[in-house]
Amino acid sequence: MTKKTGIDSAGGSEPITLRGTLSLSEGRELLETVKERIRAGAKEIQIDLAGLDGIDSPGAATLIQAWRLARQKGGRLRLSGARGKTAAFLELIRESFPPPAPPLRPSRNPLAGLGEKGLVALAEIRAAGRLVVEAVYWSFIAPLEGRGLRWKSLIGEIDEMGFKAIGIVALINFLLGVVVAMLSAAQLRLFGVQILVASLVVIGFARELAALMTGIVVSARSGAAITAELAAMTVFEEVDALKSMGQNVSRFLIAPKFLAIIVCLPLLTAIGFVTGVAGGFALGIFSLGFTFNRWWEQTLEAVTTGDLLQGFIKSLVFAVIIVVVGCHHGLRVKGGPRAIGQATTRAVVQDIFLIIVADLVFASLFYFLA
Amino acid sequence: MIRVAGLSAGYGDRQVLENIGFDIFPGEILTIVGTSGCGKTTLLKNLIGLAAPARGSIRYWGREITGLDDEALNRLRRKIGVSFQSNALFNSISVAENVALPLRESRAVDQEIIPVISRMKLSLVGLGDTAHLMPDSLSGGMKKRVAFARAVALDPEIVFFDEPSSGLDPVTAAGLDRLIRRLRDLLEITAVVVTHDLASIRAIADRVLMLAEGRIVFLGGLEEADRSADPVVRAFFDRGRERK
Ligand SMILES: Nc1ncnc2c1ncn2[C@@H]1O[C@H](COP(=O)(O)OP(=O)(O)OP(=O)(O)O)[C@@H](O)[C@H]1O
Ligand SMILES: [Mg+2]
Repeated sequence: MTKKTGIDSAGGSEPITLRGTLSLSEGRELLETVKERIRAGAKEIQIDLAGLDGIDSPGAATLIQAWRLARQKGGRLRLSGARGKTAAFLELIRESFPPPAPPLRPSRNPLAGLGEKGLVALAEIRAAGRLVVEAVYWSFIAPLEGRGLRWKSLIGEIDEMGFKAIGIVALINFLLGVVVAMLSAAQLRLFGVQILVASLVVIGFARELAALMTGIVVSARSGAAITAELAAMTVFEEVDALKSMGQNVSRFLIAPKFLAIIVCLPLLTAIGFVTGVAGGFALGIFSLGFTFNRWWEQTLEAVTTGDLLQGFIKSLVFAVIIVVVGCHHGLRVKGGPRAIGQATTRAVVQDIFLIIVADLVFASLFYFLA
Repeated sequence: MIRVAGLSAGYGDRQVLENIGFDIFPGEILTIVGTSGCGKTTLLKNLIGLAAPARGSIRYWGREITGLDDEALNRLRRKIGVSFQSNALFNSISVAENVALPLRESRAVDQEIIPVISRMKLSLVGLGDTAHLMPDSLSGGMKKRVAFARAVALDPEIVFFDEPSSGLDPVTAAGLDRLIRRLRDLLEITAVVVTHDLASIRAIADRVLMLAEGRIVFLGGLEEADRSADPVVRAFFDRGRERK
């Protein structure tokens, strides 16, 4: 008994007969034969399956391939005579003979796309605005009305966003202080006024650098964490569960984070300011050879309350940006676990972008008004 | 086909299964039943070599698999299909690619027919036109069926299903039952099905293995189960009968 594909001679319209089992290797041979026939111009190809007593998936797949190939070339391929299990199997997979329909995609006009994007952006801004209002209400107004704040989670968040960030914030600002001092010392040496490095560092950190660096560090730490946590809760239906239990999501999830970051970021910025200035001190005393008192005097002389206030206001604004962007992206996530990562990335990128934009707005305000 | 003897297994110090022994015969559909948390998934994971038992032996075609290295286990796993309780679909690739994954890994078939087989398996479970979708966008029942299609992608000789019909509507569940039977009949697949679904058990089981408190309390055919006087077995099989 032969266990091979039986293939009749080149006779154009004779059926191809299969015997034994149709598996991958026999299927390959079959596919070649069919291709040959098509090349020879055959429009009608018959495959006789009567001699077949077994078929497996790769074998069946080659049958499907052959069927599609014939169709593609404007011909037809007929299967006939299948018996028993083979017939039942082919019946089971009949649906998969035609190639899959291409996925439906609405046709796109690029201009329409632009308008659509604009609308989406508008809707996002509106949603973010609503989030701010809700967060402010549940953080400040509702507690005054005697509706409870969730103290435990507030304290937890402050620990997570504030205390645990102190080390890295201090370190980064200190190093930046040293770098800024070195940069400016090299330039100011030309004029023999290296003592001005002290002024430069303290003004730079008060107005700008402490708030900016701390904002960026916190957005990477806590902004990302906020989005990831809320996104995971959304994906795993925990947010829905909260809502179904009649809990207010803003009160339950957002208010503690909002308050925590508004408390923490200015404090962290203050720490960043001190350590940044300390970085300048380190360079001034150990490398430029000034005395502590001289550097201290110069520092105090240079900085004004206005400078400090500017940094403080910035840090508040950055805090709002970080928490709103984080919550916004976390709560509107759709899809499965993969969406969590995407939302987190998007949130951090948007945080940093908005922080820089806000910084620019401040800088121009002070520049043109002062 | 598979012979399990003296199997004890668990997690760390926590023993879940104790001294289990049974055979799985070629071409049969064996259902594993038992209350939630009794160790059905644990038994399954030990059977497919994903967890190493504390004691005992598991033989496939006479060959011991406990203590095999990964390479040898992987060769064996090519003959095994598994549909996990949580589906375990990869969300970053399309449904069709999920089903194609074992085919690509095994390198057993030509690249060009992999999509054809993948779609064939999807149409087996009635999802022929969802090939291009991402798993995220499927309903729970559809995910189950995709996992099912992936489990049979390689024409395995034995397929393990961990609760294939949980979360499915009765009509779809019955469809899957029929499919398991049909695959068994046509492709001579052996199936081990973990299930709680009494209707499903009555529809497909050749034999029932019942676990309770880490031991086998019943192993046998359906009629035997209906005749059994064991209270644990009765509690399971009599459900829904009290209301005459
Ligand atoms: N990874 C694990 N680590 C420790 N213990 C586990 C682990 N997985 C399961 N268990 C424990 O082992 C026992 C059996 O779990 P298993 O998942 O096998 O149950 P099951 O019979 O499949 O239940 P279900 O029907 O709910 O799926 C349970 O008591 C569970 O607490
Ligand atoms: Mg389980």
